[in-house]
Amino acid sequence: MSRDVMIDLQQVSKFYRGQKAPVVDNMSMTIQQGEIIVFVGPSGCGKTTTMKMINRLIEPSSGRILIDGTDVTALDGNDLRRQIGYVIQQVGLFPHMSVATNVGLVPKMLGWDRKRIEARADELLHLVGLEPAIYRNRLPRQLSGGQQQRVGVARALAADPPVMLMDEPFGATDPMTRDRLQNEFLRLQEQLRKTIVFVTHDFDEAIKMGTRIAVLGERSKIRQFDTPENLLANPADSTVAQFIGRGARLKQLDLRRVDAIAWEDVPLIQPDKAANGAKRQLEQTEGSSALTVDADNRPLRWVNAHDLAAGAGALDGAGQTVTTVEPQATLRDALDAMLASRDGAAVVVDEDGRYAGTVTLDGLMQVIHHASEQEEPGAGVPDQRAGATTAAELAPEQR
Amino acid sequence: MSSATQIRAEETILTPASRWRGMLGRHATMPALLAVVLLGTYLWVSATDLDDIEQRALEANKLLRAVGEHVTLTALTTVLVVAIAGGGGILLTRPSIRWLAPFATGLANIGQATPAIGLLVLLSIFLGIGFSTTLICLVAYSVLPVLQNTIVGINQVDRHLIEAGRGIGMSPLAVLLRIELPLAVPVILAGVRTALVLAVGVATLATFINAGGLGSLIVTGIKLQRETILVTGAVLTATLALTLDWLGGVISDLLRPRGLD
Amino acid sequence: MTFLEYLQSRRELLLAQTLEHATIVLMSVALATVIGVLIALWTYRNPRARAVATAMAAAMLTIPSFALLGLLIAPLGLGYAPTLVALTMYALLPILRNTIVGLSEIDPALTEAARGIGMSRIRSLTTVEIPLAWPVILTGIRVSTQMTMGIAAVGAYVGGPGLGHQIFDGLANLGGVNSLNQALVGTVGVIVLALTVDFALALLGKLTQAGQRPNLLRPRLARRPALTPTTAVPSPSLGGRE
Repeated sequence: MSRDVMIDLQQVSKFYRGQKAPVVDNMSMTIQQGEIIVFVGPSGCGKTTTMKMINRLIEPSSGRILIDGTDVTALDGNDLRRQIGYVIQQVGLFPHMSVATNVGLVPKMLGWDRKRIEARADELLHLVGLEPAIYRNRLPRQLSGGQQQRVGVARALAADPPVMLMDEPFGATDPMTRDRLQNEFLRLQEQLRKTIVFVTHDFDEAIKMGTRIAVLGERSKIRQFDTPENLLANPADSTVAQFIGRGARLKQLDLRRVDAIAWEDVPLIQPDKAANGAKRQLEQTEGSSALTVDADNRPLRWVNAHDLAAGAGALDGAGQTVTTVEPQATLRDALDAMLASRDGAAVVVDEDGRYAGTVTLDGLMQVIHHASEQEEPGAGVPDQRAGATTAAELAPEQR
Repeated sequence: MSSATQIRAEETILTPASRWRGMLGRHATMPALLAVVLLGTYLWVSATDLDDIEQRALEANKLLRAVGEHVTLTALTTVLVVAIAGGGGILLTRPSIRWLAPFATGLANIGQATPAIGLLVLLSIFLGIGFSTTLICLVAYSVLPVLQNTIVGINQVDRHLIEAGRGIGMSPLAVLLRIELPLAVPVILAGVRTALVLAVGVATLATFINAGGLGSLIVTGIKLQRETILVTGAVLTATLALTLDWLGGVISDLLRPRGLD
Repeated sequence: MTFLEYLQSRRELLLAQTLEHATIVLMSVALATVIGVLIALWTYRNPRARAVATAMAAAMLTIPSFALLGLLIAPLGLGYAPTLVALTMYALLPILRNTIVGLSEIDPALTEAARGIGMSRIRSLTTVEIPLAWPVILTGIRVSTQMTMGIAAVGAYVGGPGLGHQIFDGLANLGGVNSLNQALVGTVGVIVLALTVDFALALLGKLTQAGQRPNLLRPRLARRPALTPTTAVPSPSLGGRE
């Protein structure tokens, strides 16, 4: 077995007495160290049961579960669970204990001394963005829902477990809070590199959080287990495609970043050049627009030959406004910027705001079409054509 | 942030000093009222010309002995009831025998309609009269509400908290001691308080099977037609019941885990 | 004499005592319903008055029945009256509390609608609010009935009516031939009577809330919403707390 394998499910099944069909049927899966694996599927498909078998809140009926090479059934259940972080949708903070006590529960059970527990609780509260001095003595009911779930995450991280199980952790919060918690958690994960099993029924959340996503069907049958990109581009069957839902193209734009696609160059007009010179320059090049930039190469406005012809020396007020994106932005952000610009192009700028290149709707469509070429025909992603049409209609305008 | 100020306001409520002040406000009326009633009764009895019988029945040490017997019966009952019903309630909420709990609840509902005096007489027929029969009757009569409340109190604890506790690696015993029982305390204590009141009440009947208590004053008063004895006994009994109930209220306020509404 | 022989030989006396027992309980519960509903109507909109009324009713319930009977003998003398008054006082709390709960839980939009179509306060109460609160009030009535059934037995000692006489006869004959029969018929008789009347009240509840979900078969569940389990027994827990 590879050293990087953290969790290994081997033909795991769960039967309940009196039920003919198993809840989880012969499931196998290998999870690498540092991955966020998202179980996504309709309710009742056994995804939570599967997750709970990993920390043996539910005992598997058959099969083996290895964590870091050790069979979990060989360990005492309570000891096992103290080494696995556990976050649930309902948070489950104990209402009669302070925030710090809640966070310090696992270290206390592990026999840490009081000083170390206190220090750890403060460290974790700080980590999840709650000022320890203000929050450590609060009671759970004195926190907002989002704050409670931060404490829930802190409690799960208390003993620095290598593995975390998260059961719809952000499911009970409002969309804005959920978005913020997701972003914060992803940022945390970049430092922590935990191995995480994350259960959700929200496919958008799965795409956002997952290193790999397991789309589960009934009895926890794995319909597809792949990266979000591949899942969106190539749904294994129509059920998965249905589950991905409308707007797969747009969702794909969320996954790619501006620096991952090819940029185009446009003519730049430096302020010190005379307008006539610029006009000549424009006519010589194939593009119909040019970008005026300042002395530091920061983009100012889009101009075309007409603008230049109108006012000989007056470049200042001419042309159209420019929208910019940074290389780290998602393609969806870039699309947004393009649509906001008359020219259907967004200027890529570096962190100092200097011109680096442009991305255009044409370029974006090429990316999309390149992805869809890999897709089986007729896979039933309903919105694909609508998205393409929109882009095509907009395309002529930019010229 | 507006919620921050709100939270701060809540925190001030939780500071010990104001908690005490809140308790004083809530619990001051009853003792004052009882003191007035006792004083009034005392003044009324002192102002009355007492005959021999009355004087003998109302001697201070006799009254004290009756109160003592009554309190002893009640206190012993409470201790036994808490032990039996608490233990039973914990057992009846464990997953393996949880299915038995509805029977206990059903029994508690029938117990509510059972006449205490009937139970007392029936027990005396089988066990003879006296202190221990009275104690058994008292325990049998007041164990059911505590049992019922213990079961309800533990079962009303949010299942997700128990799952969270197990999920972070607490043993079943730790979950019981650190989560289920503390969070069930208010409901269990309400049951204990009910049991306390029932015990004081049924203990007034102890006199019918020669086990003493304040009921003997009332019986004497009725039999010998002496209003002073009757009223003194009744007032003392009522005062004792209200005092113990008041005490129960204070204690359950003190033991109430913080963090609950 | 076996139990059945005893029942046979005293049939008429026992029937009369059972009827008496039922009568005094139902009379006191009826009185308590009128008084309790009136007090509830008078206080339920005012938190302070509501708290005082509930606390006083709770204190009454805390006083041991034998002591309350003793206190009532002083002004009322022995006989029917002290038992009736004592039972009424005990029956008051569950009815009062449930009526307050029932009235406060009515959707304000409904009372507003009643006012909006021009109903007077009295008409709104009698045609909208009390009918809506009735299931909860009835639950309180059932709890009160169960409770006073047992307490009524003690009344026999101060000249009250009912099956309590069998129990006290059994006590007086302790060791005698019929002692067990008497105590048993008194105790079991009260329990059976209580269950029968409770069933009848449940039936009444079903008949009087047409259109709503019947809960005849689940009297215990039906009791839950208004009286939480902590207070399903004569409970002092609300005293002075609200």
